[in-house]
Formats: sequence, structure tokens, C-alpha cells
Amino acid sequence: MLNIKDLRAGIEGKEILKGLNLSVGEGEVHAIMGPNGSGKSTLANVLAGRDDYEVLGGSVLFEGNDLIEMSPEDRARAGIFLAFQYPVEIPGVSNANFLKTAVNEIRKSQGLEPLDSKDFLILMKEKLALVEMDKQMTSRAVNEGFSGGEKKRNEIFQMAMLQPKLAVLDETDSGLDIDALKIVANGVNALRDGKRSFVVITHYQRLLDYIVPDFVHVLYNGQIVKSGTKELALELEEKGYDWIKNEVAV
Amino acid sequence: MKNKVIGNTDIVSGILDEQNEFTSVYSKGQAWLNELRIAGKNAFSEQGVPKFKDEEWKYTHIAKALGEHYHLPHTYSLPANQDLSNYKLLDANTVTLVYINGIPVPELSDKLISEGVTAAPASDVENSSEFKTFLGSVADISNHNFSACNTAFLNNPCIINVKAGVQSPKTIQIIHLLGTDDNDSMCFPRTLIHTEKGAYVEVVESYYSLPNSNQNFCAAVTEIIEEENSHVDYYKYEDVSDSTILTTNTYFKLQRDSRSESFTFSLNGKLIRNDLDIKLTAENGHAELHGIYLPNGQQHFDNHTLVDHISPHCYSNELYKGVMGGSAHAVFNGKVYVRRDAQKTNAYQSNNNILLSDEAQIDTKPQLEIYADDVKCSHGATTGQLDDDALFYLRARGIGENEARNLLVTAFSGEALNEIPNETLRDVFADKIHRKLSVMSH
Repeated sequence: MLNIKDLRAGIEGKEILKGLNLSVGEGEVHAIMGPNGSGKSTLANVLAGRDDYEVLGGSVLFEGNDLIEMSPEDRARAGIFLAFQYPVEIPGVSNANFLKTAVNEIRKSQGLEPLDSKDFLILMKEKLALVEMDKQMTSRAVNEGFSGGEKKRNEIFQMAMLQPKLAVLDETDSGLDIDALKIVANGVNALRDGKRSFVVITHYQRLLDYIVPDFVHVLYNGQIVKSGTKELALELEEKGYDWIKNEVAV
Repeated sequence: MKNKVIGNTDIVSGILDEQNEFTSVYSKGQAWLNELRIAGKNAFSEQGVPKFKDEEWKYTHIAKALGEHYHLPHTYSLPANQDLSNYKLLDANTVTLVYINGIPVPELSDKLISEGVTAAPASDVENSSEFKTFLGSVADISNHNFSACNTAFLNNPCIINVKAGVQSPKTIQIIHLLGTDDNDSMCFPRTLIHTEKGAYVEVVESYYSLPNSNQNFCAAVTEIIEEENSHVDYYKYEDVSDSTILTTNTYFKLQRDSRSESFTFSLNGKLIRNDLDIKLTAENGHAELHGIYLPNGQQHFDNHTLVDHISPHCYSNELYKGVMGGSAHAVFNGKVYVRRDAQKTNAYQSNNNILLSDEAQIDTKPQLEIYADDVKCSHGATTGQLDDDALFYLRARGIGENEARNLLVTAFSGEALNEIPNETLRDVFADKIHRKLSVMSH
């Protein structure tokens, strides 16, 4: 589904990803862990198509198509979803209006009729339950005045509404207390259907107790330096990242 | 602060020549207007057209924009097959009065038949001289060049009067159609709104250019005098052509316990200058003044507002929002005076701007002058661009770039739009905004 080959990318002239390789198959959950500054967020932003990040080399194919050439909206329409590390507040645009526009633009790109208000409300109600969000949240402006936990839940809610093929979760667990973390993880798990793929980027192993990955990769200094299964995450938790750093140095 | 600057003498003498000719024709008609006309002419010949040295016109070089010669239009008729419905902003419960270049067109206008409400040209109003005490009583011809100029050409003003205790069941829309097919025509629409004690009325004054009209200049004046405990909702809608220069001077005088809501929406025009003056002359007056301006391309829109808190316990709340595209230029200058006696004043003012392109420009200047010591006042201005993070966030959810921009700008202007009490108009204006945004260049 997703094939990243020798990806080099950076921001403001500084190379951060230095030849990253990653292959994600259908229905797989990949966790990407790494110390601060290793390039985790750069990877998420490059996948979503953020302008500020420059791709310097390598390739990213999504279902065989060159992702790098696609605009952010086209990536979303093709089925990629990024759950933001820092969801943006958009005053004056209601959550419901925002999502309705997004759902219908994606449907339009697939040649589908727009959802009418009734069907949209039914869909929204169903997905709200998934992340235990109150209906009132949909009439509020996007993320405005939301707590940290509410913002992250809102990301998962959007993911549920847009039903992507590949979801990239950028440190969705950071700053969450354990209750909020469980709600977010439950939302994600409910969307695991054997076809949808996930790239879960995290600094902490804790999240992986709740979202159990098929593969764990360690990102360090712009490259994936170690890959394994969920046991690798536990090892990292126990030994810390210095162990990896030393291993790479050797 | 008297404008002693004489502008381009050619244009001034040209306008005054036209005025002499005009007087010889019209002084026989509404005789009671004669004195005012003479005062207006004298004031205008003293002040001329403002030059950019004039502090109030620093960013709006109107003398340059106007050029040299203007004349009164010779034809007042509407082109054949012209559909008025394009100009009507509200359908239900509305009385429409049509003016072409400031001259009433009875055959296109509705007759208002409603107990206690008058809305008609002065020539159709019985005992119109009753309004002598009001007309010209708040327009400041000694400081406002174009109010003076307008007054010099006073002919057949629109008069709206609501009797004591009457709540006008109808909204009154005045449709001003401007321009002719010959070049450099000028016109001077004039409106007087007077609400007696406890009365209410909603008025929409809208400005459009006639199809195929050439370069033209319109200097409109509206005076609104609210007696005790009365209430006026006033909307100004400006959608003129790219060859139309439009100045409006709007004056409110609020008596005790009265309330005004004004909304100024500048959608299209070559150069638009709005001066809005509100005087809170007695206790417990309440003024809401809001506006949106959306210049694009080479357009230049300027809003000057003045809220004069003369008496204690009054409230004013002002929010103007601007979105500028292309190499458009907007100006906002908002003054709030709180005089020494105006204790317990609440005065709020805010102006927010978004520049869609690098070439677009805004000069904003909020001014607060407080001479009383027990007041609550705030003011502020912001200027920015569309939030790139927000734009990316929307696009990352599959929303196309144009649609995403539109959503953000609509949300931005929505804050001012939400101040509009009339929900139907709010929707009509939202639609106008949406359409304009879709053609604005960034």
C-alpha cells in the first residue's frame, strides 16, 4: 500500500530524513518510535504534503502512485489521513460544517453524490460514539477552546468520518492522560478492519499497550535503524533510546 | 479641524458652474430647500475637493481619482428591459423606492401605505417643509467637503418619517442606480430618516451602477435623527461598477434611550469612501456599527467612522472586517470620542483585516480619545494573512485549496455578519461575500 524508498527530506535547507525505507501493507499497523529530533514528525508532514517540507530525494508510492507529486487535498482524497500532533484551531468554522465539506469533497473525487444532511447526521452520530464525544462538539468551531484530549479525540473522530485507507497518527498520545489515551486507542482499534493500514508515530511505548502494532521500527537520525515486532517496543521502554544510539554508533 | 485645502480648482469650478445652472432650474420647485443649497454651495466653494495633505484623506487621493470634469446627467431613464429584481435584497415585507442618479423614479417605486410611516420623495410628501428643521441639521457641511457638495445640489430628498410609537411593518429599501452612458456624470442622492418617540424602522440603502454606465461620481448623504426611545436598523450596501467613485456621509443623532444598528457593506466599486458619524447626545443611547469591505484588483475602499459620546451611560460597539485581494487598498479610521460629561460610557471598537495577496494594502488607525474618567473602552486593530496552518489542516482533510480559502475567509467575515439583526439579509450578504471571494485574487 505504502512504499517509501530512500526518502530524503528536510526543512529550511536542513536534511532531516536521510534515506528512509518503509513498506506498509494492507491492514498492517506499523509503529515508528524514536528519540526527539529523529525525524518522526518530518515523516508525518512529508506524507501529508506540507509545503514547508522539501523532498530532496527518494520516492513515496501510495497504491503505486507517486505521492510526492500530489497536493495535500489529493492525498486525502486518495485515502491518506494524518492525525495531527498539534490540531489547528479554526475559529468561525463549525466542526460539522468542516466535516461535511471534507466528506463531500472526498465523495466528489470518488464520483459519489454528496451526502444529504440526514445521512450525514446519522454517520456523525455513529462515529461520535466511537470516541465518546458529545454531539455538542460538532457545533463548536473546529478545535477552538478544546482541551488537549478533546483535540486528539476530534482527530480520531475525523478519521472515522473520512474512512481513509492509510492513517498516520503523529504522536496522538502525547499529553494525554490514561483515560483519554484509552478512548483514543479504542477509537483506532474500532477502525482496524484488516484492510485499513496505520502508521503510529510515538515517543512512548505506552500507547502500544492499547494499539498493538504488527511491526515496530526505530527511527534515529533520519533513518530506520531497527525493525521488529511489538517486543521491540518493550525492549526500548526498558533500555531507553541510548541503547539504539550506541548500537548505531558501533 | 477645518479643511482649508482647496482641491483641484478645475473640478471645483466645473461643479460650481453646474450648480449655478442647476439652481436656475430647481429653485422654483422646493423653495424651502433654497437656503440649504446656498449654504452648501458656499461651504463647498470654500473647501473644494480634499487633497491628500488633508489628514482625513491622507490615504485616499480622491482629487486624483476624480480627474477634472463632471456634469449633471441629462438622462434619468432606466434602460429598457432592466430587471429591478436584481437590485432587490429582500422580497417580503419590503417597500422599494428607486432613485436614478439621485432623482426619484415614481413609476418604478412602490407606494407605501402604512399608518404613521412616510417613505417618499419630498415632492410627494405633504407639508414637506415640516422637515426643514431636520434636513441638514446633522450633516456637517463645514467639515465634510462632499456633504457640502451634496447639499449644494439638494433637490428632492427621500424622506422617511415614522410617527411616535409606530413600528414600521415594512422594511424600506432605497435602490440608488448610478451613472449614464456619457462620461463623467455626477449625482447627489440625499436621504432623511426621522423616527419619532418610540418608533422603529428598518432601512436598506443600496447603490448600484446602471449597466453600461461610464465613469461617474456619486456623493450621497444620509441623515438619521432618532428621537427618544426610538430604534433604527440601517444597512448600506455598495455594489457599484469599477468606474464608479462613491462617497457616502451618514449621520446619526441619537436621543435618550434610542438605539441604532448600522451595517456598511462595501462589495464593489472603483473608489468608495464611507464617513459614518454617530452622535450619542443623551443618556442611554446604544449604537452598533459594523461593516465588511472586500476590495479586489485596483479597488480602493475607505471607511471613516466617528462615535461621539456626548452624554453619560451610552454604549457603542463597532466591528469592521476587511479582506483585500489583488493590489486593492483599504483604509479604516475609527474615532471614538468620550467627552468629559460622558461618564459610565461603554465603547468598544475593533478592526480586523486579512490581506490575500502581497500587493494588497490596508491602512488602519483606531483612535480613542477619552476625557471622562469613569468609562470602559477598548479598541484594537489586527492585520494578517490567511493562517497557513489552518489552510493546510483543511486541505489535509480533502478540501480543495480554493474552497479552503473560502471557508476561512467566510468564517473571518462571519463574525461581523453575525452582528446583523435581520437574518434574511445576513444570508443574502453571506452569499454576496461568497461570490466575491471566489473571484478575488491572492
